Amino acid sequence: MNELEQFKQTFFEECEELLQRFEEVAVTLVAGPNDAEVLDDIFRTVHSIKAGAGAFKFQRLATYCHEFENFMDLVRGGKLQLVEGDPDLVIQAGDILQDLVAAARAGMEAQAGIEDEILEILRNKTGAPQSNANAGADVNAAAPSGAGFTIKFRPHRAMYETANEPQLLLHALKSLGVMSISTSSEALPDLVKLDPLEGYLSWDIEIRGDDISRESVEEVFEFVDGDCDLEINEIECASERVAADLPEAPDAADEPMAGAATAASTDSKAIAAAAQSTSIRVELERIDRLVDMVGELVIAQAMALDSLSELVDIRHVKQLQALEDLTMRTRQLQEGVMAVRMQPLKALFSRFPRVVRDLSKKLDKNVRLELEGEATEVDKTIIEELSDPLTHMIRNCMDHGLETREERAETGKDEQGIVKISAEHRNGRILIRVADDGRGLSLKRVRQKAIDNGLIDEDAELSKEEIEALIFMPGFSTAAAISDVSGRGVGMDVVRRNIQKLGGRVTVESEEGKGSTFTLALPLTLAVLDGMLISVAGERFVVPLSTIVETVLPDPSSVRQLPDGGTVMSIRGETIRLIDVCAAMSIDRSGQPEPLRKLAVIVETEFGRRIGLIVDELLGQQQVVIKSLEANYRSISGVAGTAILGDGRVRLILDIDGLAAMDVPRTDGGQPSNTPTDTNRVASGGQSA
Amino acid sequence: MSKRVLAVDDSKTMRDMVAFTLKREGFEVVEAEDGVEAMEVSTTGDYDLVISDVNMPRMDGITLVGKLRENPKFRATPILILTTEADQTKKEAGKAAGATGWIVKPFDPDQLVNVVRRVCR
Repeated sequence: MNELEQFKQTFFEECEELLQRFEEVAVTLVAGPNDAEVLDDIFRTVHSIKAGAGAFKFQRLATYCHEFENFMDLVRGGKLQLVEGDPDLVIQAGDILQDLVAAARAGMEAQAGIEDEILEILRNKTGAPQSNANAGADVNAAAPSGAGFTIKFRPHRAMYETANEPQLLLHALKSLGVMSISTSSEALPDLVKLDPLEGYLSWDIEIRGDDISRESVEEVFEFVDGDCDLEINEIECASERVAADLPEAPDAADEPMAGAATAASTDSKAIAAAAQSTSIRVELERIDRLVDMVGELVIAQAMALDSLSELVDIRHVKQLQALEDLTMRTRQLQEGVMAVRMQPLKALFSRFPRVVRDLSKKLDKNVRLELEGEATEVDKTIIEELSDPLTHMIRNCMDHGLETREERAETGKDEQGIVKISAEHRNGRILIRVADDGRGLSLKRVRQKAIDNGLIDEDAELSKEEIEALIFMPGFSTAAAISDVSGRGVGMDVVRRNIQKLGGRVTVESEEGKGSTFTLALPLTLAVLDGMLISVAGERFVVPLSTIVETVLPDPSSVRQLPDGGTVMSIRGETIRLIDVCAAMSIDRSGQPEPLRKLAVIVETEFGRRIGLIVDELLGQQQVVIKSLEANYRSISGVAGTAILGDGRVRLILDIDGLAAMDVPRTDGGQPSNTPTDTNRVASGGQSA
Repeated sequence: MSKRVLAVDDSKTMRDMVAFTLKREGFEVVEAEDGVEAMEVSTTGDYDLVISDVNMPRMDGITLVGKLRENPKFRATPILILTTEADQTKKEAGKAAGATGWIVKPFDPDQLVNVVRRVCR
């Protein structure tokens, strides 16, 4: 039954996307009511949800979609023209669709009758009969007003002889509503007298729900009719009693249950019901605003602390204590607000068993998927962005990493290969590993391929790590290597680019013959950036830590001037361009002492190109709150945004890709200019290197 | 490990439909064209489910169910028969022979899955 839950999960995720799309396009109807593409889009949304709803027996949802779909079908086919007010009707119908989906997802019943009015209007327009529109509507109409059924169920020997399982029937029954069940083992004889083929257990079941019909209950027992004692009685409708009982409903459902499997799943239903009542939906934008405000608070607090730091005096011990308290509370508040955006990775991980299963069939490989750390919480935006790269990495592991059954047998490995995905928090970052126990990377072959594809020189001397890192280079995955499974022209370079976009890094460790491990290191949230603080001519900048590969003290002999004024440096056989941050940011160096030797910070662009940033000094790593420059000023090339540091000062975050694209031939200090760097300089207030 | 189902039907369309639907549900599907072939295939491994048509050449579905039930290996295996709405007698006969349940033709994939879930863990 787990699989069903998994498909349901996928279905609801799809619903979410579809409904979002619905909202986007439906509003455009108001402007131009008969745009064929929009109408098609809406039709498909409703159609897709209907299909899923039917498959998972969300009868009410399916019935509603059916009517809505009919209407949209006529409209998109031109048989019905949208008249004034109709676009609003569609939007309204979408809202109700959303409510019904949400209710189905929570395992609850939506408020009775919320769809009736819309359904009537839609049926009027499509000319469908008011009731009895289809079988689904029939079930609805026939739904008894009673609160549910009590069922006494005692299987006979004959039922077991046809391989019918009480447990499965009880499961099927449970899908109809909220069920409580008690098992009676009174008839169970002493062990010596026990006949293993006989049925001794019986069950008393109470199932409650608005829409349960006697037929649906009888259908569950269809195959065992006559092979068991079965008594189905409708619970008298006592609305007052039900209403009075309602607040205790989850507890009541928990209590009188026996039978582990049933208990567990009914439990989850109760939890879902409880979760529904204790959670609210909040727009992401509002949370982001909150995150932002707390960010400001942190800065304000830091500034207050800074300016009051001279109060180191016994007379002010109270004030200092209060300040310390404020600092602590602010930090707690910040963590709390960040936590709101966090979600467990489980939702993402739960898609992978399917991916692995499908693929192992396609590749004819026997693969076991191990998941670890599903409860690890990550920023929602990051979770959404991780799906594609992770899926690709799994495919990659299974296709290229794991050997065929025969190869595994030959090398004495277990026929079953293992793909393991794990997640954990470490040092304020999240680490996700995708590991396989396959053949590992062949350094020789990777190197040769990189040479063949012109990525490295034939005589380049590379360390093991450097060779392994070659697989992330654009152009490494060649046409010859593209297979039906992990090919399609998408290589590990795309994975890396996606991860970098999130401020993360991806690395690979591999041992030939033993397997490979890909590690993604990601920030916990996108609102905070891990930065490296650098200084250039007294100015400070932030370089996103995720882009930094290494820092070197360039050997003067390895640096060459190009005729166009540019500078390049060769490092282990690779020639990279150097960019003087001082020149690129138009900083006036006059009056600033020139450091004896400047550092080159080797950074990597999104496309895997490496450039060296010439800086005076590295000041250390720091987490910074990101502020958009575009939103507050305007976009500036070479600057990705601004950061407010813990001390409250504004620094510019360097945009590596922007810098790489800039044409900065000069290598010495430029003229003072009117760029916002000046603002920065004022804020940073005369630092000396 | 994936579950294995033995799909028995002389109509390829029907076998394909069963195979397609159940593969999507994670089953490994082994096909047989009639009762005789099904009996041969039944020895090739363990099965978690058998779905069989009733009217087939050489050996019909009811006979197949009876024969499978005689084999201890299939004593606790759910067996579903495919039958048409009018065939109330076939349902009874199937049950008497030991069938776990039935699926009424024509059916859509969702119905098939629903019935399978009622008999197969």
